Amino acid sequence: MAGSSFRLPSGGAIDRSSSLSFEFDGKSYRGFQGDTLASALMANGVRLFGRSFKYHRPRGIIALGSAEPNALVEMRGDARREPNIQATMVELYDGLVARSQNRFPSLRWDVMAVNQLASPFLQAGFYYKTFMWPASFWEPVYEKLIRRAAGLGRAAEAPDPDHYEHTHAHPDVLVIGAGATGLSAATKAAETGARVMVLDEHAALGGWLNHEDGEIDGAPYKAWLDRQVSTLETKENVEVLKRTSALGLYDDNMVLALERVSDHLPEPLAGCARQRLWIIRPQKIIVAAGAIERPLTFVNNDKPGVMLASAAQGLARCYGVAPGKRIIIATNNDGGHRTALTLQQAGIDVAAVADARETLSLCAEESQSAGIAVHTATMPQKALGGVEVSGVRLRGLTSEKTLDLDCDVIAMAGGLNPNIQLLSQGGKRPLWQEDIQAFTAEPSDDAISTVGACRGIYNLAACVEDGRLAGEAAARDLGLSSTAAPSVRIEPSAIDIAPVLEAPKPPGTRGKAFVDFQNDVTAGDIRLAVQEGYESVEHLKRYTTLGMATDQGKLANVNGLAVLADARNEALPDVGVTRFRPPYTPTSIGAFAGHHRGKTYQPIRRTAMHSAHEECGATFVEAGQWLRPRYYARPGEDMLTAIKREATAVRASLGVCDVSTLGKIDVFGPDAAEFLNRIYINNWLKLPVGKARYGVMLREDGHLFDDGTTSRLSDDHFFVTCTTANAGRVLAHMEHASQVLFPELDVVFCSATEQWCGVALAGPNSRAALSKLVDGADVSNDALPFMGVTETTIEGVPARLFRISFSGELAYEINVPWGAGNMLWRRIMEVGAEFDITPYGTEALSVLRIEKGHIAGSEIDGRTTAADAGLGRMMAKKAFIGKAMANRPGLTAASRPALVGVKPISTHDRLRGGAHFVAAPKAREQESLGWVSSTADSPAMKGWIGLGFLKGGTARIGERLFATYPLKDEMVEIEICSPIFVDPEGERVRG
Amino acid sequence: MAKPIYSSPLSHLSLSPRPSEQTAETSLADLGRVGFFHVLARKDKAAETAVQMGVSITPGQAAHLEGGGVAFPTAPGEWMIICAASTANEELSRWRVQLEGAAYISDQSHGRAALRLSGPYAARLLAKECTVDLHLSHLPTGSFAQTQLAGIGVLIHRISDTPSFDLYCYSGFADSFWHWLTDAGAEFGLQTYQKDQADG
Repeated sequence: MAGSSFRLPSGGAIDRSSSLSFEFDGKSYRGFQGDTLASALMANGVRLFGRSFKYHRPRGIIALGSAEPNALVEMRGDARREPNIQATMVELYDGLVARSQNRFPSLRWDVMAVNQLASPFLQAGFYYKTFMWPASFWEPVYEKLIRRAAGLGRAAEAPDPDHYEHTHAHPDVLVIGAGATGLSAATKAAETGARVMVLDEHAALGGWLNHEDGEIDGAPYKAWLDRQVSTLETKENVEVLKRTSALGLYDDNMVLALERVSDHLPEPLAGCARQRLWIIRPQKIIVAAGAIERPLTFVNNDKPGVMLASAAQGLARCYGVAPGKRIIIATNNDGGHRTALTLQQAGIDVAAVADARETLSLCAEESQSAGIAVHTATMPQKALGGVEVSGVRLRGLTSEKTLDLDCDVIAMAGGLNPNIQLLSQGGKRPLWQEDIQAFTAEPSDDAISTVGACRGIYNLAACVEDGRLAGEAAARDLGLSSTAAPSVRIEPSAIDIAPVLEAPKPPGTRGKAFVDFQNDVTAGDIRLAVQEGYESVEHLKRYTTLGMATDQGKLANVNGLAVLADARNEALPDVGVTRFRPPYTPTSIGAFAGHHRGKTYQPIRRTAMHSAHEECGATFVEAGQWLRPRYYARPGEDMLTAIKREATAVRASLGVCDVSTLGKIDVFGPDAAEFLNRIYINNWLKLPVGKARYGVMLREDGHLFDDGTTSRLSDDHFFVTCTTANAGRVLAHMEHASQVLFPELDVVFCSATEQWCGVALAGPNSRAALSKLVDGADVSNDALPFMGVTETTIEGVPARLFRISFSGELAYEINVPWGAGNMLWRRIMEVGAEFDITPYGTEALSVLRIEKGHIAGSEIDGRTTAADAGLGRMMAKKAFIGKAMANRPGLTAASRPALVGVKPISTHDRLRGGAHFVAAPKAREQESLGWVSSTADSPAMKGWIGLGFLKGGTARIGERLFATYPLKDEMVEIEICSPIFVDPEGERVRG
Repeated sequence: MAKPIYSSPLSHLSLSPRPSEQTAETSLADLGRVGFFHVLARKDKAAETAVQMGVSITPGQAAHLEGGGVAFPTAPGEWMIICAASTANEELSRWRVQLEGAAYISDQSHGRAALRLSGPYAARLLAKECTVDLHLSHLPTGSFAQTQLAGIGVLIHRISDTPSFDLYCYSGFADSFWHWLTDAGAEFGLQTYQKDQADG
């Protein structure tokens, strides 16, 4: 490889026989299977990954894994383009394409970096202070400018081609984190036969075991790890989820986790989801989420080349990559020395360790013996260099002496933060542990336990034992193990660590010491906020945005609290903490939507005759979840022409319309009639068997609820129909009435909507066609009069005939069992052929019912009463639901708008639903006299007609008014008329 | 009188019959028509209805009926009886007589689509939308659950340990349900069939 290669000659869990090609910012590189984008770029000597959010400062990687705040890149292209992806979490694949973001024109030369020059003005609260006035500038000017300057990446503009899904799981034990502790817990629980799920955000399990050498139970880490994983993966009661992050812990201990199923591939395999959101409801949760290393707060600690010690160690150990040519380690505990020794063993030049502690620990002495210079009571004051680190200025904490050293990497070991994010989300307040200088959080719920480093245990053997005990305890609580509970619990032991504090910054030192790298919050910002009175940790968070970036302050929070405590001159635990928010890592919106997007957002209901409609050339419309034929355009026809032709054909000869979607309810029982009597406003007790009746229901508040035709099939069997839109609501309303209001009634009912499919056969020739359709039944006017109901057969299939009409023509509704729908449609088209039968859709249906003055959903809109709709006389003297409230003065006032018909004076004018009635053609400041509810371009009336609600109602028939529609600046002169335009005497339906 | 011709809510899919040799694959079959009756016990007659049906009321547990068919207690005082389409008319008449005075029956034989999902990934597939735990320890063979899958109300009846599930949804949703199942099953190589002898 070229001289710029940082790849070590050996080491790392990479497959050196599998070389992969990838591209970053248009330049080609090579890496290995097992690399991440971050490790592969580092191996190629690329250390500059992006520009920061506010100041556009150059940034490299700081952490390895999901805590990374800086190395956010834009992945893939076109419809799969996705911004703000952590390069440290991207597994390399052949052909990978990524770009840096938030820079122009290039990563190295970014013009917005001038923000740094303006940085004195960009401090905490900058936006609040600067863009206060004039207020009118906020939306059109300031917000646009700010968004352009401070954007992070670009979202894709095309629809996402991948699919996402959910999966529900109900393990007995959920183990979050598959490091040594988690694996140990999972293994122990699994041995008892418990259903165990263990998840880890990385492709390789093992956590810290991959970062160093050692022994567990006498076996090298690697051998122990391989044994645990292979044992777990072969057990039927265990599910191991790799590449899966626990996002949140919710009520009743539900856990959401995101599995990145296909993100390590160029694109998902056929049939596979890109990402899967796991919705997990475990009995027991063992949180073994480990710990995250803290950075140190010193000037220029964000320069590419400054990284966590664990990241430097991980690069070398997991990927065989040298983090740099010459490393200086800054630490306040033994962790930095362990990193120093590990890196040195890997052949990397570790020049010095700056240790904030005053005395040499045993570990520090080991570093010294290995030939590494150790400077005690020393912290970095400042990282030196241009775009990248070229050295460090160390400063004695007591001597105040400074020392400049050359290096290209400064590795920070600021101590470990137990990963308590999930518990904090659940509202558990973190507790400060002085002897490990970190917060822990003990769950208050017996179903959850924290184990290992996640509760401050940093000794690996103790972690493994802690995991075992937790696995055993979970099994014991579940009744799967009878082992005795141990008398003592493993407790975290104190570690030798210097207090968390910002590196000294002598007066006159220029530059920024970053606390929150992703949101560009500096120690100076925090001190300024305190000066300005934002002392409360909650105020500080919102004023400075500390910890509010997508990384949720994984690296920032404790360091931020340390600066706050110092500024307030208080102890760190006394300044309070803020709560972490889900999700733990940024998550695609698609994963939350899962299957429910686009055409599959909700299920589609098809009627039994759907295929027949398709064959007839139907255009469909969504009616709730149903698809209904809207119209059947013939070749060359537009929608309006088709609708007029269909409506005309019904009035002239014969039409057929699928009405299967109407809600249908079987009501049984000796009290069925009494029950309906209480549900509907009109009388039902005396409805004879074999007859149908139009019924109207009110809501309890007295407004119109629903209407439909209900038939009596036998003394104790009624067949209720309701509108398509309200089918579910009417059934629920009836359930409520039966169970809560009238439990004394002997009545039962259930939906029969999909047992029966139905058509309306309408037009002057409908009887002639029907007589040919049925198997010999008498359908004459005497045998089956208007509102008559009879049961017969069609082609041997049971059929119900209802002589009812929505169109105002002689008409029948025919019901057959759902499975006979196609047969019924085919037979009707056959017998109707001689009458030139015309299928009609919902649009023509609507035209016909408006011509007849029948109300529908536009009239029953939640504001209208029975009287408003001209149905007041149906309200019987008996008691019924809604009666008391319907008699309120406001609902019976004579001034209420009531149903009228309306037509334009000029036949060229168009009416629009929603237009308001006004007295004069003035554009403004007129009283609304009511509104137009439904309109139709009526073939029968040769022009637009409408139904509407007008103050004064039918008493104003013949008056001329105006219909105004300000949205389209329309003003149409109209005449008020009867709402029944066609056949007001009702001769056709009775003919 | 001509013989009634009924089609399945999925007949438009033109599915092929299952090949003769059985494989271990995960498969989905349209069971076509079944007898499906909604039994509604009258006021205060749930216990009497249960006695007449010869079943004890165990929530979540399907009961095999003397003379054929399975009864699912789906709500207080309500059962769904499912039987073979070939005997549906006789069974309906028989139950109407037997439960006279105690319960009413709404014939829903056309109101439901019946599907069978079998094979190693059957539970895994359903778990993509199913909030109910389908593990054998929670939903043993012979038990059932009512829930929503992809927004569709479904009755899930576990008929074998292997696993195998019979799924019932409203006929109007059958096409949508089928498409969700086949989408969700694509990664498992789900095979689709029309009902045949092997499906009983």
